[in-house]
Amino acid sequence: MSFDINTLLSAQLHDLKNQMQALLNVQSELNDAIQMDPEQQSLMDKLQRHSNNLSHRLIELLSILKIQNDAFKPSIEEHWLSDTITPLANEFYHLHGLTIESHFDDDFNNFYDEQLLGIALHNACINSLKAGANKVILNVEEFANGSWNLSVSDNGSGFSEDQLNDQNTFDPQGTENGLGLYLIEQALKAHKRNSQTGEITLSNNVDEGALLIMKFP
Amino acid sequence: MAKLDAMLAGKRILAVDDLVESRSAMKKMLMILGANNVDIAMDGDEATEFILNNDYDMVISDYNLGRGRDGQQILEEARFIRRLKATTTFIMLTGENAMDMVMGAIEYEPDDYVTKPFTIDIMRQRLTRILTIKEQLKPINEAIDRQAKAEVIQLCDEYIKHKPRLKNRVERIKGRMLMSMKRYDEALALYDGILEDREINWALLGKATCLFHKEKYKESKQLLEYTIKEHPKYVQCYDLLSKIHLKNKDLKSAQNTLVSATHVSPKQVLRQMELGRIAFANQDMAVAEGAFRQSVKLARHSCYRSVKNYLFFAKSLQHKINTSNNREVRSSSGDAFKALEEAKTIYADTPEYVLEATMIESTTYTNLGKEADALAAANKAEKMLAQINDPSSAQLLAMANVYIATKQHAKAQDLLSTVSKRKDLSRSEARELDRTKGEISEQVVRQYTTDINDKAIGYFERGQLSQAIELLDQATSYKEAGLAVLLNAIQVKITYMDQRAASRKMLDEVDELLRRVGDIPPSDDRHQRWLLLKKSQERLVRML
Repeated sequence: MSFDINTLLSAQLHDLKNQMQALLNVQSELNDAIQMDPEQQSLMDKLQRHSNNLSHRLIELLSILKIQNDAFKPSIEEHWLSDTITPLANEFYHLHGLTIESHFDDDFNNFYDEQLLGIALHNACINSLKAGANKVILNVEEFANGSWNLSVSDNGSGFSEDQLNDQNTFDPQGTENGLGLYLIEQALKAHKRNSQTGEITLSNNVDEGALLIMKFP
Repeated sequence: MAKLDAMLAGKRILAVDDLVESRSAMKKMLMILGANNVDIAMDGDEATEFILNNDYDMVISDYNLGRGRDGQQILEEARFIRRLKATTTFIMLTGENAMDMVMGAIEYEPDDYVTKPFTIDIMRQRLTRILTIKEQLKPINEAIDRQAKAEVIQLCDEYIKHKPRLKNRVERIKGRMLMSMKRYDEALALYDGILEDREINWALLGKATCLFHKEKYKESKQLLEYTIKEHPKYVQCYDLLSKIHLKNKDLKSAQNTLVSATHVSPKQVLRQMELGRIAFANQDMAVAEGAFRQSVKLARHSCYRSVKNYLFFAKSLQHKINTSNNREVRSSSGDAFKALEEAKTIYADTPEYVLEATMIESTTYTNLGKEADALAAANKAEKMLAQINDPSSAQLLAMANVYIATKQHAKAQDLLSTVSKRKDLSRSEARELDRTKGEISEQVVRQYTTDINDKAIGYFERGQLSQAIELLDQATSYKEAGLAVLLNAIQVKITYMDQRAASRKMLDEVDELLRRVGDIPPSDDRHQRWLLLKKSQERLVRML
């Protein structure tokens, strides 16, 4: 008997997630233990930055595996958006100095796959950082039919001309660049409702920075 | 939102994780967040024990607890035995997406899931939200705990109107409550409304359940098949689908559906028990054996523990037990005896259960070809049956079968005639009665008595009269015993009294035997012998 590669990868990744959880737990204890010591705290921050990146990469890898697998069905459940965003915002502010402002009601909730939205937002913020932004503003727009948009606006250099097209849609260009946007788009496409599918649009703000809109059906 | 430390302080909390580091880390995390009363459990058994003996405000459990039961089963059992109130919060920690996990019944869902890996920051955020919502829903949950169902519905309607952010959760509660009140039309309308807007798995199952109760089996089946295709891990759909097959009297499909469900979720006891029962009825003993083996194992420390698991497991093993002394037979009979012994120990205070276990023990020995052990167990069972006040027809029929297996046909026949006189036999009992009667045909009994008679003659010829009498007593205890057997029995007893001394008891026995023989006409070859025996009996009577 032999296992297919997806099963093997998935099993290994789940095990890695447990290991990662153990690492995060120890790190949290260590953090408590060395509080108030600036020198050690700086080392701790570095450790935390690396392990958080590792954690995100791990979840991303698992999601990529799932997205690429035809049998994947996202877990579209009801979530509170601020619950998904607050830990991410804290992390980006603490580790990268990026401020994420949520300009929506703290009680806003809707249906989405939390892990996929987390990946999409993480990649969007990484892109903003790469574009030199130090602030990201999140806005929510709700529609009467139950669909909703999450817009991610930053104060960076904005999308380059070759990243934008007339329809404001994402155009994959080779494999050198755009993996982050590709993952964001895949995360949204996995969101389906009746005959509708999620999508993203890209544009630049009038004054400064990029505007990415995630459209959830 | 309220402060988390204030919400956690004073709450009795149970944290469950099989990994020692995760357990202590979880406890520490909860304490940092403001909890001050946290118990920890390492597996499903320990968690159930804690829940049985304490009142918890919150349970936070890992979904995957290693080899034993998982977090979902802890939740289901705790809610099933009403040890977790509706106001108690249950949080499932998981390395999977919620949909990757096995989804439980609508009424046994956790309040929320927290996906691993998580930091304390994520946990703080999530717990704050979960406990805030729980607090908002408190009036509804308190009404549920009071079983004030009408009030629950009324509160749900108010919440749906005034708290749109909680609409989804409240509609879920309302649907569940309407179904428990058998208000299926209203529940169906609610689920239809939800599904029109968005295809949510629990609403699909809820609608299918309503259709089932409204006896719209075809529509319910179609919806369930669609839901299973979309959500293959929603095992409750398989359970309901199996019930529809049962309603359609399609036992084989019911069994296959449950087999599929056990592939998805092998640790759910009630499903394994149901599968075992259906497979047993289908005479698919291999599947029945596997299902009851799991039932015994999984239910051993749970609220679902039942004597039936042990007894049916032992019964389902019989197809593998025979007289060949190979490894499989030894292992199967060993498992059967172990299960029966465990049942007798656990249920020692219930004579009916001990009786049934003893009867199966006798059958097991019979199948192994160990006649003496089978007879000894049958004798024990016979004594137990005598102690039971007004035994059921099922018990009498089972004992009759044990008698037949241990070649005590006369006793079997007596029991069967008792059962035949009963007016309240169920259809299956009547069928079993006919089947068992068929097992003891007159010819079988006569042949059997003839065999005993032949052995007795051997003893008689060697002068071993006591042994001959014992065997012939056994042979003549059957009303089918033939004339030759009766005459031999008389002759042996008279010879015995001639050699030793006449006794009133034995003479009475001879008298009874002669009565059964009746008159043998002169035309019969045995007439002369009969006359001689009668005269000998009269002589012995005079000597007494």
